[in-house]
Amino acid sequence: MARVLERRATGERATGAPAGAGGPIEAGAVVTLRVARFDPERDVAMRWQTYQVPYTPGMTVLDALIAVKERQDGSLAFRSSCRMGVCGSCGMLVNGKPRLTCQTQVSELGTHLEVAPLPNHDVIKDLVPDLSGTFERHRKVHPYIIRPAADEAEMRAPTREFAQTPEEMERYLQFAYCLKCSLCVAACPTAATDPLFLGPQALAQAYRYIADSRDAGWEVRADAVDGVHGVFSCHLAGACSEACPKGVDPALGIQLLKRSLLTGPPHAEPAPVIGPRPVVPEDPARPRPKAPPPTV
Amino acid sequence: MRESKLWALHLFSGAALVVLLGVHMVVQHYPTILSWLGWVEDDVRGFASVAARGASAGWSVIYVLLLGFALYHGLYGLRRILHEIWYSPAATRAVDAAVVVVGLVVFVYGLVAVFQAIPLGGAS
Repeated sequence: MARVLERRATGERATGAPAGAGGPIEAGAVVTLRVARFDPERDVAMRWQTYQVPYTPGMTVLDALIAVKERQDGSLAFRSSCRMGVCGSCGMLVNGKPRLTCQTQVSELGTHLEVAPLPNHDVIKDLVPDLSGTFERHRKVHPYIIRPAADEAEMRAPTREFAQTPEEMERYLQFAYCLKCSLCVAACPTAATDPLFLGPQALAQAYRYIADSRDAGWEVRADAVDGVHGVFSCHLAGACSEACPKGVDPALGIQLLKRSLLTGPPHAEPAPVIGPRPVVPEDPARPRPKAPPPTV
Repeated sequence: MRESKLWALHLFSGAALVVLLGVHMVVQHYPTILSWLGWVEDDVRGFASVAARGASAGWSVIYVLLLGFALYHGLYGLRRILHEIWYSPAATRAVDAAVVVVGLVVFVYGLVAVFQAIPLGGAS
């Protein structure tokens, strides 16, 4: 019996279709795709639909879905953009694991594929998850460099650099590779039971910024993550780190964040502004450049 | 109070329980270890021994600490589970209040039991 989605995918597999064994697949073989379908205007429950597409060497799961959409069923909805593992928009549950479909070779999984929307997210349609919850939680941790009030003028109209050694950059670099694809949230068992949990993506990004030697936002981020549904809700299952397609280790970030909350921020003072002051006197008539808005 | 402080106390209470429960287990259930330590008692779980420990200020302190840390550790764990199941703000407040009330009531009840044992031990 198909499980009622209630617009929130759970990641439960419908019929236990064979996970498939990876290995060489001969050209001309047929790939069987069991795809979860859900139209919020018509369906009350997820249903499964099976398609068959001819295998071609180098075919990714996304390629197979595109082949279905182009040649068999134009109503199939899924999200993709860059097709090269950078944008993070094509995350789906493939054979029971959250993966970027553009990076997942069909040959890794065999000729039987089961594709469903990301668990722990509302479903917009078919394989399209609603990522707005992930982005909202991301915003809550202030995902941008915060400088002391004394540097406000420098932040508005930058003239110099902020010092940072390679060692200081190493402290946060891996966390900066986050795509915001939400695969870690889809894999997280705590997010499955507590929708208010900040989740591995936002918590790892909180650590990414507090570990940044240029940042002075410790207090506001500590307020954001040190609550009932914050960092201490993590069970340390480690599923987030397993799922990350970019090799980020959110579970490590969460542990380091816990340690920081208990022992204090990773650095005492934010890195100072360095470099020569501008020698050209400001022309009051010249329009001042505007600082770009913080990226999320 | 911030969650990090509650969590740190949870960790501390866990470590304290290892020590306090270790003392309890050795005294109550492992007389061989006691004899290695030079403490030979005929019947550590007999009425006279239990009453004597109850009358002792040191043992009372151990019992009170064991009661407090065990209560805190258990109720904090229960609270975390309940927060995950009932996550609305109202449910969160209700669970917090219930845990505090239950914890205080049981702790006071435990205190009464511990200190009632003192005259019992004194009478023996």
